Amino acid sequence: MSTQASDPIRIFGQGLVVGWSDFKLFWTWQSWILSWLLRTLCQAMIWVLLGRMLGSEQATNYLLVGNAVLAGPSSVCWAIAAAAWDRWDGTYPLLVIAPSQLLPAIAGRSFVWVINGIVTSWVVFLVLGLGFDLHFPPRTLVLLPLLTILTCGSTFGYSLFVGSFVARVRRLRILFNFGSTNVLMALSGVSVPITFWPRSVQAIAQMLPVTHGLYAVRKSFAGGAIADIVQAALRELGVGIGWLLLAILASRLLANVGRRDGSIDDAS
Amino acid sequence: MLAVKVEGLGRVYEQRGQAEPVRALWSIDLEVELGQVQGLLGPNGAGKTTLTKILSTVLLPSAGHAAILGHDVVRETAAVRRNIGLVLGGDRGLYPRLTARQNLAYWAALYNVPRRETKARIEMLLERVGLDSDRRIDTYSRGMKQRLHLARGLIADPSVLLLDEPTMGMDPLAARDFRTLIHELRQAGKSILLTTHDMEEAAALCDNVALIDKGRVLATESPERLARLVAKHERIDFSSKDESVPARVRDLFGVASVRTLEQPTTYRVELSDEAALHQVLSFLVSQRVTALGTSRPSLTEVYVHVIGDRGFKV
Repeated sequence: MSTQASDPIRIFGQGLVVGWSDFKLFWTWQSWILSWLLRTLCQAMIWVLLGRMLGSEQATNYLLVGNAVLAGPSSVCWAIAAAAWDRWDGTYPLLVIAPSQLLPAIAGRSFVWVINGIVTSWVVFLVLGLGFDLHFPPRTLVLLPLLTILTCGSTFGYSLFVGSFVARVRRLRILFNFGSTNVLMALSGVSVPITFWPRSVQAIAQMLPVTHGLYAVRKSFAGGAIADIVQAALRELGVGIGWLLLAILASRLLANVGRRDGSIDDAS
Repeated sequence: MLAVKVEGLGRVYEQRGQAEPVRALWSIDLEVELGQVQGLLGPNGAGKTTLTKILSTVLLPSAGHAAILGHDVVRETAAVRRNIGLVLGGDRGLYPRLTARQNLAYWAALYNVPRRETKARIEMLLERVGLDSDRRIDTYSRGMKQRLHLARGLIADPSVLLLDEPTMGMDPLAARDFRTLIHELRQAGKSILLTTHDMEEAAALCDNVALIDKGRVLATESPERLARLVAKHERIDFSSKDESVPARVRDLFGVASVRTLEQPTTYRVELSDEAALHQVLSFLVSQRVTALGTSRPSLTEVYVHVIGDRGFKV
């Protein structure tokens, strides 16, 4: 029978079908709205209310924008846990020995969390923005959807990298998932400006997803120069691509390590 | 060219917290001819799955060489992967919330089956293994899942199939149907390495059987030749209520032994000379023994003889 060259986009698309079936196991429309979305809204709102308690419109808007943006990446970090699901299903060794690259399959299966993150972030912006009188400049109405997609995308690159390790040590999936969300929440300028941190921590923040994308969103709301916004967006894109390249290397490396130590079909 | 060639293959597992590494395979040699069904028969922990993992490139060997269709499993991994289909036993290895068609479409993409051929190939495979394509896998019985495993292994039409305990946990009827499928694949020219500890399966399907235990191949022969390892000549089973008959048979030329089988009036005559067969049969008929027959040892007997009857011990 004839075969063709490996088609990562096709594999990604098929992986997405698997991911959607996983997602439907977690959520119905009702449970998604009443638990996932409501919880995320409440979490962001608590921060916004803290800003109100301080009596500062600037602080309120800062916390609203930061937490509405983060609603996306905190969903995307579920891709870290999802990287372990092929081990759970016993399909991981079969993916490793298929004559295609491993990462498009893993990425496809977990991409549903990116879509979920983008939609969640948009809804949080819409609901809290209207609820707390956030002013959306016309330019921001165009840029905001794109920047949230970019931020979720770069977080996906990071999640695939961390997920490569989680695929080896499945029991750490929840720790890495929530740990990553917490790190992004703390260091990327969501609720606390990056400049509050020591310089060494600020340097780490520059390499994390969300940091530059969120900066671009804030600049957009503040009516900053388009060049600044584009520069920050490009930095966010660069960070995402960097993490994605590391994820490609890590997935290959760790599959080879698994072949050596016999852990590829280890379910631990 | 050989379908599978294994020379001096060894595998050692380093166990965390244990000073001594575990040696799963000791310098194994094995050859599978093209179009042949080779059985790997042995108890749990014998090293069968480790060998299958190395051949399927899931695991690297610690020593020796292994090749599929002349491609080294370590250095030519990509070529090996294009030519093999790995079929696992059990529930794992499928996407339970997808339909059979969706599962196969995913693996078709991963195995680079051209888009224009994928649909027809999936339909052909589903028809061949007799599966309802639109039901989710988590509603399937064990036997149906196993047939889907086989369809998945065949999605890229590989030349060599590695079947790791494919009928594990299946009911007898499902296992029989599955064996029919394997038989058809053999007739279609596939080379098959079948890992099993089911004697009946090995005897029914395999051209050759390798008995493997504690990481070593103890014997590799056809099931018939393996039977000769236990008993060189045919043997005669008979029933007689006359207790003097077995004693008199024992005195005949070419009779090595006469022993009582499970039922007190049933006996087994082991011959030391093929020429004695006719004489012993004639004698039994003259003694009005009508319940009698000749046989070779079953693969189960060979297995117990070579590997040993160790009960639950691994």
